Amino acid sequence: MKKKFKGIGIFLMALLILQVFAACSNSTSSEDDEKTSDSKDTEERITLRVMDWADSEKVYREQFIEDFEKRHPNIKIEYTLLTSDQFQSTITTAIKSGDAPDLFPIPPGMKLGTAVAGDWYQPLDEYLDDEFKNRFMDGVFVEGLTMQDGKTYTIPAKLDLPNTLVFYNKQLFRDAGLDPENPPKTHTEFAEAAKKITEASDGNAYGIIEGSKTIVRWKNPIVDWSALGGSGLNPHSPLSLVSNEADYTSEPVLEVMNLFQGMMEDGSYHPKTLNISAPEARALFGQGQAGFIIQGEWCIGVWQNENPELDFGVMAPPVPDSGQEGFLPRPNFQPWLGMAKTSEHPEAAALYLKEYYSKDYQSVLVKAGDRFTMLKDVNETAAEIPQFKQYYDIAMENSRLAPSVEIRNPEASVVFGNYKDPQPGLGDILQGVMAGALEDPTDQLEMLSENVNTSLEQALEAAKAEGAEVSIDDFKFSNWKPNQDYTAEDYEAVR
Amino acid sequence: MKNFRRTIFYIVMTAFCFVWIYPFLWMVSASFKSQNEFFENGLSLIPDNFTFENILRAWNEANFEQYFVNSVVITVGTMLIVFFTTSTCGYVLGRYNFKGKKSVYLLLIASMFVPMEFAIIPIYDLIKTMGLMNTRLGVILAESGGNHIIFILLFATFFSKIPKELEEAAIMDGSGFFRTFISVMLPLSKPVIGSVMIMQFIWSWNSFLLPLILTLNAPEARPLSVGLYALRGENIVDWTGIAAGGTIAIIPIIVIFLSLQRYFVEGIAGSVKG
Amino acid sequence: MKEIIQTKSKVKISSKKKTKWKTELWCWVFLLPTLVLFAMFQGWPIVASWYYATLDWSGLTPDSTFVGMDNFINVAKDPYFWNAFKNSFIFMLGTIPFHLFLALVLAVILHKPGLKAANLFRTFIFLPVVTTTSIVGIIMVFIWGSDGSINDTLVKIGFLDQSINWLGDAKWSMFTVILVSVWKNLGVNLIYWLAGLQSIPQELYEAADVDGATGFRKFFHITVPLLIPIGTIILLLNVVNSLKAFDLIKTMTNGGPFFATDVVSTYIYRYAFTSEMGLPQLGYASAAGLFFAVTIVIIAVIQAVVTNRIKGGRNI
Repeated sequence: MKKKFKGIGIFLMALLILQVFAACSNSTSSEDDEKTSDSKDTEERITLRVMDWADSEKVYREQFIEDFEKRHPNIKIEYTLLTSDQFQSTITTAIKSGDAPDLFPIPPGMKLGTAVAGDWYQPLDEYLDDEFKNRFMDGVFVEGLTMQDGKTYTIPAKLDLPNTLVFYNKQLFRDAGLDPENPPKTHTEFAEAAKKITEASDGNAYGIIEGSKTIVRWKNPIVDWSALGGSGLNPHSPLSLVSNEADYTSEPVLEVMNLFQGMMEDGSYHPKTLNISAPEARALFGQGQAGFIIQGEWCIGVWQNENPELDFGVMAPPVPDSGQEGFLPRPNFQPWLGMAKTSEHPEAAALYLKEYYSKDYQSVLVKAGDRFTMLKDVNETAAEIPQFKQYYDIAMENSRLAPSVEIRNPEASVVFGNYKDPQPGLGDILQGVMAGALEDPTDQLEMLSENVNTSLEQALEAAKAEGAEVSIDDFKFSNWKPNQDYTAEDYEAVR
Repeated sequence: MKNFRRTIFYIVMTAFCFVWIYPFLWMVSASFKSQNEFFENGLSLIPDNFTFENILRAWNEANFEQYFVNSVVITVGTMLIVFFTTSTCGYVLGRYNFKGKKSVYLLLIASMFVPMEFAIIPIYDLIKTMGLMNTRLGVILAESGGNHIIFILLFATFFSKIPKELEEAAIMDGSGFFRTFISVMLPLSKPVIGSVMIMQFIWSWNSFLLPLILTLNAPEARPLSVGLYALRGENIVDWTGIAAGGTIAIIPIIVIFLSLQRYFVEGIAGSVKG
Repeated sequence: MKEIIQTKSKVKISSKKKTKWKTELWCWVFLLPTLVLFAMFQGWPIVASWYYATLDWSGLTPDSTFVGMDNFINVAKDPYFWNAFKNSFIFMLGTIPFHLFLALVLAVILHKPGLKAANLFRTFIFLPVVTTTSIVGIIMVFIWGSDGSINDTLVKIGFLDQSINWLGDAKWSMFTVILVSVWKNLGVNLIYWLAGLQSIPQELYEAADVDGATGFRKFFHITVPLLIPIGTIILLLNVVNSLKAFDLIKTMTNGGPFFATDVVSTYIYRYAFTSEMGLPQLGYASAAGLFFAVTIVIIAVIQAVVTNRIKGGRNI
């Protein structure tokens, strides 16, 4: 008995010793930290905390931070990269208890008005001069998006273009006897091309690949591509710009669904499509395993790094066989980075913003094929990768700026704050169709339209109850024309 | 004949185990593959070109030298507290009848079913009020406060089966309640201690969200798991890095497992007799 | 010797009341650490989530509206909640038999003192437990995909005419997720069973050997009855864990295709953290979680009462 007893004893002792030892090293190290931070304080070395989920930028950002700290030895940057889920689960508590990072972005789906009402941010105007603001394109600093009551609170991350252009593998095109310089233009041509690629590659590659587990990769193509057919769907409002109602059963929507469903029946989709998420689909496309993928510009940088051999092109989304009835909806700038109201180092934070949104650093991102910047003239001069330039041209040519409800009426942010996203959404339904779980999506789509209408009504009522001056008319843009950008004058005309 | 059967058994068992640990082997091999090969070579276990880049990257990303110590402190601290609380609690629940025992059981078991996904906000507030934000002690406490009812029940059933004579003998020797527990009962419960320690080690070692949130402002107090999680981005996923991180982080777990698993082969009968 | 005991027990009887009181005090002293930690890190958060469940709150904004039981009513009205509810139970019923029986059989085999490689086998079976979940998610796509090795093998041996998309097909995805989950967690249960086997005194087997009992007889007459208490705990553990399963399902199917593997935890997560337009709904998600928990507790209580009746009111 004693012997075994000893065994446990030794083990426990070992643990204890480890613990004590570790605790010692712990306390000494923290004392050290304090000491050093004390001594830093005397030199006024401050720590600036930045938090976001811009992971595609990570490598460049780390370099940027290193350079920044070299240029400003009195500032230490503590950068925390999270996923947006993690960010959402931490930020409220952090803000509430005064632990908010100095610079942090607005979570996806939240409008500026809600954040400002929650006392998240402080106005940046005091710290950022006109020279800074003049670096940006028109439309970045707009009331309702990035500004409220004439004060600037946030700066967008990038120039948002439609992220549903089609990348295609030129080598697979050639192997299938297709002309890589003349990609398909209509739904039928697109489906045909995908089929040919599948047939020609004998199981080594397939016509198209998507990441089915990432629901938004089903939703975005439906919204954008159906807009080409005149559905009036857009990312800024739950209502169709054409019918001014939540309308997910319109002909153009069904056409796009049928296109994808048909391609699935053809066997054109990569068999892994249903089992993977977007990053995996991108990697497999990079491996040359699929002819097409519907994605955004950020993929170009990834392939450039990971698959330098990949010979790919960019093309506009195919239009319905009956012809084009509209354009891709181009989103407005989205609010992103802001300075915490509780920030103790606003000057340093402003300095960070100035250098982060400098031509030098933004050019790095554009050059790397990570994103398009909203600084003036940089996209044109800095882009190096040919496909990246093409992406810009094709996206601009095929899209029109969509109207934004909160630019028209900034108080609409209260409506969005109260809006409850009905589930299953458009992306879920398409996923169900593709997986063969839904034979006929019409019922689901009708239900969705109904639910969205109800949800919006309820959100409007709730917003009114909170004292916001809003009405359903804010969501209806009578002077919107499918073939034109919705401009400042247009907003003026309906206000 | 017996030899023959034994051979068959070993062959079957080995084949089974190979299939069983195949994904694990794949993870280890993936930590030496390039990102491209990760997808290209599908199921192959031998990398075409060995690369140590992933291991290096995971090492740096996870701040290994610094975070490893944190991980050890947090995990060992949690293990000790959990071991202490669950064994004492299991002991009295298993061996004694007292007023309110049923209510304690009921309370603990019913709470098991409540999903704690949103528990993070109140826990954050609590640790903050206690002034333990951004310290390892805060993380240890919060982790020890997790639901360990399973351990309590394991101890309780185990202790309930120990023959009364042992205890009476101890009392006769003049041991008090506490000493009887420490010097007679606890040493008998080695198999349970073993499994409790192993499971708690794995949980604490891999626990991610709680340490992340409780050390939001103090990267220097973070454990390995938080550092490794940085490899898993929102849009860009560093698969080989994750695999490498998993491989590095697994080593201590296996060491603990191997050293504790001998508890499963020594019989209780042996220790009672000894 | 006997005398001493007798006198001692006499003393005991005289001071029995005092001892009893003392023992009870000790009991509570021993319970105290657990109860304090419980109150702080379990009880209080549970109370808080009841509070959240009565709010219309995104979890992101400071403003929240008290809506009483509305969230609970909406949860009960949502067919997709009930779909998730049903899936959670299917998942539980699918995984538990493996964790109870397969794990026990393996534990008995690996418990044999004579088995030299037992250490090794135990470690092997345990390895999936510590394999990183997100990596498991990816390798499973390779293994279970319609162009994966499982399909290859099954088609080759003529078991299947045509490959099945195990994870992507709504008819098979739950089955596949269950199997993978069993693979991942069997090792944990093996450990618990081994701990249980450990507590069976060796003498009982020795005595049975003397009586000339066979291996099967020993298993059913000694091992099984003595393992019932720990078996109950393992059952409880698996019920709870399988109803709360999240990580693996999230990485493998994300609840899809079209909610075929959507369990309550993925359902809650979706409402708590994601939203395509507008804000997430933490209040609603809390309500869904509590609704689920309360339902399970009610089911458990009813079940206990019924079994009690059947057993003739025997105490549990």
